[in-house]
Amino acid sequence: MRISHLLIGLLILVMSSSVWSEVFIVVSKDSDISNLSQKEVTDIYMGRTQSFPNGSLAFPLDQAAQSRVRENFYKILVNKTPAQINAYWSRLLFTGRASPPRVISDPALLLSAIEQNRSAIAYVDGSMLSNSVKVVAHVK
Amino acid sequence: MSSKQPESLSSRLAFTIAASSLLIIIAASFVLYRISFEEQVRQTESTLDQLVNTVRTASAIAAYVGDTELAKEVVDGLTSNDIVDGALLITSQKVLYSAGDAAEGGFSRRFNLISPFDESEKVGELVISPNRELIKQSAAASARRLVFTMIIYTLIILGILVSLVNWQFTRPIKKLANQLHRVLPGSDDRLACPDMHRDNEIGRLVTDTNQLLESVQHTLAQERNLRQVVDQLQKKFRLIFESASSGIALIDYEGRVQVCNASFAKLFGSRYLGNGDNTEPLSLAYSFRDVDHFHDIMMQVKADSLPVEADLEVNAEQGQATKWFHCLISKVANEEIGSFLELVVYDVSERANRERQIQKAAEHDPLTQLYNRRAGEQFMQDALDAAGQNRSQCALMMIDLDRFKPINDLHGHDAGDMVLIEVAQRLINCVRGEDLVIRWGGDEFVVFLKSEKGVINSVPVAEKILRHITQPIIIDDDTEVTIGASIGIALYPQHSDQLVYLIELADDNMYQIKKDGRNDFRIAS
Repeated sequence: MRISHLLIGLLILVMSSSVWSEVFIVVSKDSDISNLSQKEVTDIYMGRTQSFPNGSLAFPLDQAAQSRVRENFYKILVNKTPAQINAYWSRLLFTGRASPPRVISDPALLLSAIEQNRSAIAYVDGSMLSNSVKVVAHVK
Repeated sequence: MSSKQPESLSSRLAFTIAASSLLIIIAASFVLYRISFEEQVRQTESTLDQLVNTVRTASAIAAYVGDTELAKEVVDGLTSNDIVDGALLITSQKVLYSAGDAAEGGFSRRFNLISPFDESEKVGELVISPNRELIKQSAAASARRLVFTMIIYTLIILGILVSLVNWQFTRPIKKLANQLHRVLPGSDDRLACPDMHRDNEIGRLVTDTNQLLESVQHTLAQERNLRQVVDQLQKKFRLIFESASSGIALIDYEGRVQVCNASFAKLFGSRYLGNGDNTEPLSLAYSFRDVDHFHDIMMQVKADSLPVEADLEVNAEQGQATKWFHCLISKVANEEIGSFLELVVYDVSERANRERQIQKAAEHDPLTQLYNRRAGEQFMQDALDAAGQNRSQCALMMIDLDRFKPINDLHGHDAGDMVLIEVAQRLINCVRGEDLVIRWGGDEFVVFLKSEKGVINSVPVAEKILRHITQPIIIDDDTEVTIGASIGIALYPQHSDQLVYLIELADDNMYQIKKDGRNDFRIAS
């Protein structure tokens, strides 16, 4: 399992410059979650659910609003532009039921937040993968 | 029908059109209401679709996230439209928010909500109930407008139609009807055709009616002429019947007079006509001396249907001469009046009386009014024939007067005649009505006694005759004569059954008496 992840990580490293469109969904390496479907990721990120499929609390983290990876992530995940995503959240903004994922613009801070919080979930491009995080899904 | 006011064509037409229009309008109102209701429903649905499209994204998000607040916003927004009665937003698990009467009846519309991020996932439903009352109201209003328009339209058409029909048809027809009403059947009145209808059906009606009037006039004239002819003929027949000298009558089989002419009434008298009072007329049979005979004739004619002619003697009134009617009786049968007897009668009393006079003269001795010898022989022969059949007896007495010739010589022939007349009267007084008294010739008489049955006793009769004859006969105030008689008697059938021999036997015995001393009788032995 780990070897395959490494291999994939290596592969991504090799191809990172050219295949940037691949986005990885990661959690803390201590998390019980090992695998998420694209739908489960969508439901968590679009505020439909506040927990993982196993019932433990999920805490999605967003990247910088203008970042490439964010644009990529939403494009691949739900085929929406960042503007559409913003509009979506603005609709829900005052209802209180759901709130948009918390934004952590600094990639290093984002990674440490993943490491420190077993409930956290984030998306990253291949260049940011490390041993401290666990890839539970990737979208392309 | 006859007691009702005559209906007017135009009012009936207007009524009919109005009634059928009303029916059509009522039916059309229902149909129009249905149609506009459905149209309204369709319009509402289309409006709802558009409305839902404006909130589709928001409601899909609300359903996706399960956000009650957003759902409330959407639903409240929808129900603020007056065509929406109620709305309901549900996810696959629960009702997010509902407002108004969102009953999930047949009228509510359901819209599927698709996940904003996955087109293959249905995240919920938006249920909207259209405002049925509003739809109904607008449908009714729309139908009302249509019906109102239709009524106005119908009234206009009705008015135009009625006045057109009135002007074009009803008025001319009414005029013609009034004209025809005034026409006297058989007169030369004719209908006048209105100019504008000369070539159409009304014109034909006028032409045909005039032809009909023409033929009615013709027929009536013919009938009138015919009736005049019949009247004339009838008068003549009545004249024949009433002024005929013979009596003519119809009688039924009971003999009752049904109808008769004046002559008949005069012949028979009112007793048999039954007019004047209500009593049934007496049978005509009672007017004849032989009632049964007349009755038999009636029955014979009825049975044989053949006419019968007869001279019948009529009961004469007291002190009047015997009357004889010649009657011709025949049967007349007719389906209309039934079966009767026709009686044609004329008075033949004069002729009949004359005939009887002649017959009497032929049969009687003019001096004594007794049967003469020839008639006497005939009657005696008849009596013998009857006695032969009845097995009864007869007695023949030959009577010769004694001492008669000297009276003739002494007192003259008139005295002799008086004696003969007196003797004849006395002989008649000595016998019964049915016995025969005959002047045999000169001073000879024959008395013939009949008996219905049993034996005849001639002795007392002979003694009685002798007793009466020997009584004195007064010729005049100072002349009185007395005569006697010699009587010879022969009996049938003891002495003979032949008249000739009976006469001979009686004659012989009479001569025997004459020889023996006269004024006695002697029966043949």
